[in-house]
Amino acid sequence: MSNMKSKEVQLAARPVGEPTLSDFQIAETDVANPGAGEFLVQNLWMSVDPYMRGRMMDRESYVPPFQIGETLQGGAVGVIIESNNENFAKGDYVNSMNGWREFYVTDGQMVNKLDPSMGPIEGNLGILGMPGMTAYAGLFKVGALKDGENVFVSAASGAVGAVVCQLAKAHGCYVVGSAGSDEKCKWLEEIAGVDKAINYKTCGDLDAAVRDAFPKGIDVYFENVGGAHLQAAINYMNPHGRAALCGMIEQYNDTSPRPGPNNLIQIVGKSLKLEGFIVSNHLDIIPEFYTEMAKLISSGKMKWEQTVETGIENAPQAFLNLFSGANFGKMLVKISDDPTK
Amino acid sequence: MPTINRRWVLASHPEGKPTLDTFRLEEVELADPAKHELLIQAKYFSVDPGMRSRLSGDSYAAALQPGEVIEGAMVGEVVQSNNEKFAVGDLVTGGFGWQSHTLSNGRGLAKLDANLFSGPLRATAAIGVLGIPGLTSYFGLSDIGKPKEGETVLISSAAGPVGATAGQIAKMQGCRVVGIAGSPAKCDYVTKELGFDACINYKDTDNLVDAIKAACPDGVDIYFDNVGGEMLDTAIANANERGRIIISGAVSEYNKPEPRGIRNTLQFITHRLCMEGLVVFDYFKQFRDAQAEMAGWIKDGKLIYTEDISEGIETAPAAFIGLFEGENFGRRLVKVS
Repeated sequence: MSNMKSKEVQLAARPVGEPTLSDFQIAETDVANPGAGEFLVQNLWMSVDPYMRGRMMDRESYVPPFQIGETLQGGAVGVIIESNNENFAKGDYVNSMNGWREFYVTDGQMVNKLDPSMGPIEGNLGILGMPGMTAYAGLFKVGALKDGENVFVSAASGAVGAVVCQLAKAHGCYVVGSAGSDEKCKWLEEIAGVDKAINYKTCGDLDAAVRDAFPKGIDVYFENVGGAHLQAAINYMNPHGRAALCGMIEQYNDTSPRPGPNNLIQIVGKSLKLEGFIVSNHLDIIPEFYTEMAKLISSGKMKWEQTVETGIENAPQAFLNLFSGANFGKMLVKISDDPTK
Repeated sequence: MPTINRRWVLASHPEGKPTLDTFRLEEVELADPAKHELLIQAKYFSVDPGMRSRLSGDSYAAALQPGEVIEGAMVGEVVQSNNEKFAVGDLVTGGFGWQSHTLSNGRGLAKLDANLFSGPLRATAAIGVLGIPGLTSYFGLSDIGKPKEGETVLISSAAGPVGATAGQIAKMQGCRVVGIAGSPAKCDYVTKELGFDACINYKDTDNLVDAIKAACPDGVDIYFDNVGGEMLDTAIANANERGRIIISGAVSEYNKPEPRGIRNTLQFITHRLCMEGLVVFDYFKQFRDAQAEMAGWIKDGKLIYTEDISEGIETAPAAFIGLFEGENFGRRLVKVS
């Protein structure tokens, strides 16, 4: 055994309603020496994502629930500091689901090597990672977006929403995004280049704001929020409109389902399609996703923001920030400086 | 000689449940058919739950205005004709609404194909199992539901014309088919005559979520919804991953000024559900092929249909209002002559 220790974040209690810091605990574990075929990774960055809230509940879903007293999981990028595996060398950067901890030993299964020349390494947790792929899959596979259509995006400045907005703009669409602060709306209009941003916290009547923003109706709605946003989108969707249901962050902390849209009769009248999806069902998009994103990033047509908390101890707070809207763009935790630099 | 047309028009927009006062029976004189025109005497017309939204709100078709004839599908006989395409005695169908006579120039009018409408296929099938309800079942199931052998299909309003047809087609595809209906007699009909594997009487269960779970031990892959609201929510709660939900109507919601809607929206993401509404006219170009296929099933005895006939044009409003009480048994038509 090495004399190294890894600080890890565990689930202390299943949150009821809005999670609090007391639902988490920090543990310290010994780091084993990598055995034959294994290697040791030091995590540099980890991701906190809204979907993790669902895994904190003991229920059936597309990923198994987290267990109390066990270290949480999530996307993380790190650097290999010791290796006995011929496919992975010391100094290689890797992506894994072994987040919420400082170090881990692995045989390389479910770990992917990263190309650091694609941009900042933490981009693999955001724009070039799961959130970016989610945006791409939802817009093109589920939403079946056609060039020049009218697109509404909720939580538009978030990790997924911001990519959705800019992909749609790159396809000649009319894009309106909603966000929860004037600062986020300004970023959407001036940096991300959407046609209009709605501050849903100050606009008063969201339904009227959506109506006024879409003189030609909505063809594709990219749903990250739920509730009043979905209701308004259904009201102004065009015949044969598609709603790609990606997230409903407004409802993740609910202890019982709240009343949802009650205008569903329009689904019949307008032949609407509402479809939930997760990115792992659409991994066939990956090659085209990288091709298109590389083009947009290098030509300056894909911008992103990130909010960083520093230190593994602050990871629970970073997660809580997702639900208060305190993050701007992708929420990340910086676990360590790069020891190889 | 002028003809007296008796017709039901909208008297006033209803709020909530329509009443007899929502409708007004008028008599108007029709002139003799002019050049290229023909006069049709209605035999039957349909009363459709989907009409409810057109009586008060806007929908995919604009709202009706007071004084306008209530819409419905009609099957009738040509009684006078100056149109070379139609002869006296021809049986025809079209969307001519709740009235006894119609003057037409032939547009929107279709002659019943004598080869198709023979044997067990009565003329009324043109506005039932081979009309909008049957075509809704056919295209909803095939294009949105995409059933695979061995999947479980749950159908609300299972004794109604859309549900009954959808369930029988799903059985032909090798699915396990479970209906939901509102009386023991309807459930008997659904299982014994239509051949569904099971039927839940929703009025006789305290917990519909559990009743569905018991009747669908492998979960629900396809839900064909004609009811909406709470029943839709219970189906969503039982849906399998990648489940498909076909929305063809929402009879429980039409009369509510503030519809209940659904609450289980998160399931769409956790179970990657797809819910899609259906306007059958989007499939117009495929109608003829679908009708031919369904007619074949009917003649082979694989598809049965039941009609619930209300006698006399005077009965139309009550027949319509009764749809929301679930009193109809099969396709509800009004016999005019």
